[in-house]
Amino acid sequence: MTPSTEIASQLEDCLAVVFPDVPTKQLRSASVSSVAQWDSLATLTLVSVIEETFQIQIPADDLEEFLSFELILDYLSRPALRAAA
Amino acid sequence: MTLVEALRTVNSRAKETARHGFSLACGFTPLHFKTFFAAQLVERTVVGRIDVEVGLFGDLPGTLRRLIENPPDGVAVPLEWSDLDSRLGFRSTNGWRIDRGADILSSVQMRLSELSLVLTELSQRTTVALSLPTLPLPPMFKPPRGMSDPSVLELRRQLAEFAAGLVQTSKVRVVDSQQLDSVSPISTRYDTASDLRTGFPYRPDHACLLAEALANLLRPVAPMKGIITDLDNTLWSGIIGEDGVDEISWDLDHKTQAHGLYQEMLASLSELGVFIGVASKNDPLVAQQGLQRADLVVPRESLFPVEANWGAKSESVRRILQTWNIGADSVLFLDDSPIELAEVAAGVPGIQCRQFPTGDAEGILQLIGEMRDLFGKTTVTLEDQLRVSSLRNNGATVTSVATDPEEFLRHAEAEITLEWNIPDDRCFELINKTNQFNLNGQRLDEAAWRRRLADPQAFLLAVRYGDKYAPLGKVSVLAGRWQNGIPLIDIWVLSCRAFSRRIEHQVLQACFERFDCDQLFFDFLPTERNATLCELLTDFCGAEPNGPVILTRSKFKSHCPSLYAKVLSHDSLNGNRVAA
Repeated sequence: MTPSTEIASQLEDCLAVVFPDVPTKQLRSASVSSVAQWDSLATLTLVSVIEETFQIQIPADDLEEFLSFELILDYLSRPALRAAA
Repeated sequence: MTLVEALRTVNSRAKETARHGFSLACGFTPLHFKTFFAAQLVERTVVGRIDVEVGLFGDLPGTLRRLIENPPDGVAVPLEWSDLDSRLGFRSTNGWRIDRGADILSSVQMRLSELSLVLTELSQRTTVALSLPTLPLPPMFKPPRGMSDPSVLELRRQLAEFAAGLVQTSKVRVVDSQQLDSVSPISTRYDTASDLRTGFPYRPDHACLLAEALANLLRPVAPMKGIITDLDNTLWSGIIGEDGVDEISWDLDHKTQAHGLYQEMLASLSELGVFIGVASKNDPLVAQQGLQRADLVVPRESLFPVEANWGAKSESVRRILQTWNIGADSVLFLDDSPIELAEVAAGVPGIQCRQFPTGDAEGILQLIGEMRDLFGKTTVTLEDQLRVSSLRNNGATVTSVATDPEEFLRHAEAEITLEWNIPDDRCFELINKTNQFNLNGQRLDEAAWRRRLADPQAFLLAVRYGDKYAPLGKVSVLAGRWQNGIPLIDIWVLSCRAFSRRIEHQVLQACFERFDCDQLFFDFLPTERNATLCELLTDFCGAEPNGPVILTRSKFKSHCPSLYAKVLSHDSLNGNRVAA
């Protein structure tokens, strides 16, 4: 498994645990607009789960990027972040 | 437990239809605390999903008042300083002035009085668990940090008075701050960034541990019932058979005080009604000499039975369990020898074994702390105090019964007191700890118990027993509800200490008389352990039941043996009266 597919897989697990009602097949296309439960509190929970899973600290200012699976995956794949993890 | 694990735990029950409703009343944004709290409750609940409602953030008294009107199964209140005065939190910048100290003390006093009233009232309706502030106070007071400020000391005094008053005068359960401190260091609790940005003040580890502490008070684990202890290098230091009775010790002079502390804990637990037995590989006469020493800290009479012999310890343990008539899974076995522990663990499935850490003072302190956790009780009943003495008397009783059961019962001078619709903690305890004479194995949590007591169609019978040998206290509970003119009985338990006295027959006779009916409906269900009750129903019905049973008055009369006890009846509505 390449690093990027591993990150995607772990991120999928994170979304699955925070949004248990979203079907597995739809997790990778999930976003604030497609998941009704994805509100600001859910974002905070998701960020904490991601921090716990990836063993990273996410600055508060970065939270605005946490709007969809795709955007979060892009964020987590950045070399600087991966080096810090 | 991590946040991911907590979410998975909660999600695992999300689809279940049975529901347990709890409330979290807090002044801060609950965020992950709600998740951890729900997960801890799931782990303490056999079936059903846990729904946790939260009130309005920042309005703790208002949230609590609203819950009084519609109480859930339980309420957790993680109190923080900012709930007492917002100036004591970090999200306020309107009060860190030296001249505001007196005003803060005054407002905290008022808020604590308000909370005391509302919590007391709420605790009459549901189970309430409260934790006192766990986060540090802001550095707003006069002296440099490290030096106590009179205002801070006064704040803590007010808080301690508030907590002590609640515990003494209400049913509110308060988290032991010292216990929490030991697992969650105060310097690692506060998440400044999270509090300032979102209003959630806890780091995940502290949120999890505080949620666990509160859930423990709302859904306490049933205490264990008995301890079986070794003697040499466990109850005392030394080997009595080799060193001699005068050389064994448990005091400071011999540097063996840790054994004295262990005995102190045994004595304390015995007063709570915990059985304490002895299993020792020793000459029985030599062991008795040690147990007769006048300076023994644990009272000699609280150690029963004493099995001192050279046989396998598992055999001794099995005999003790038989005497106590309780299951191995509610008993702790303590011995300094790993070999003996292994032999007992293999020979007595289900028993919990711990190695006594001889020579390790810190280990012994940890052990007695664990013993307190496993056996501690919130209330001590009359039955707890009677338990060991009645067990000893049972020995004499059994001998008499073996000679001639009918003669024994005829001359026992037994007196049975029927208490109709007078619930108390002992009834609740009996229902939740009795296995062998138990109609269907049903257990009740406090919320279900309260709902049952509030049901106007429900009935409850508690039975006290005593004879010339000993009073046994409250030994049986029968409960049910009227449905279409038929009394449906779905709870019936009888303590194993009270077997062979025909109390069960007296209870059935009392039900037919009280209900003035020709049929009693029993919601019987066979369990792995309720063979005793199954045998009784089989005697009356002629066949072993697999499910609900209807017992007719005529069948009861034709199969009921002679009953000799004098019966008194008390009723919550009618006052005291003698029935027969």
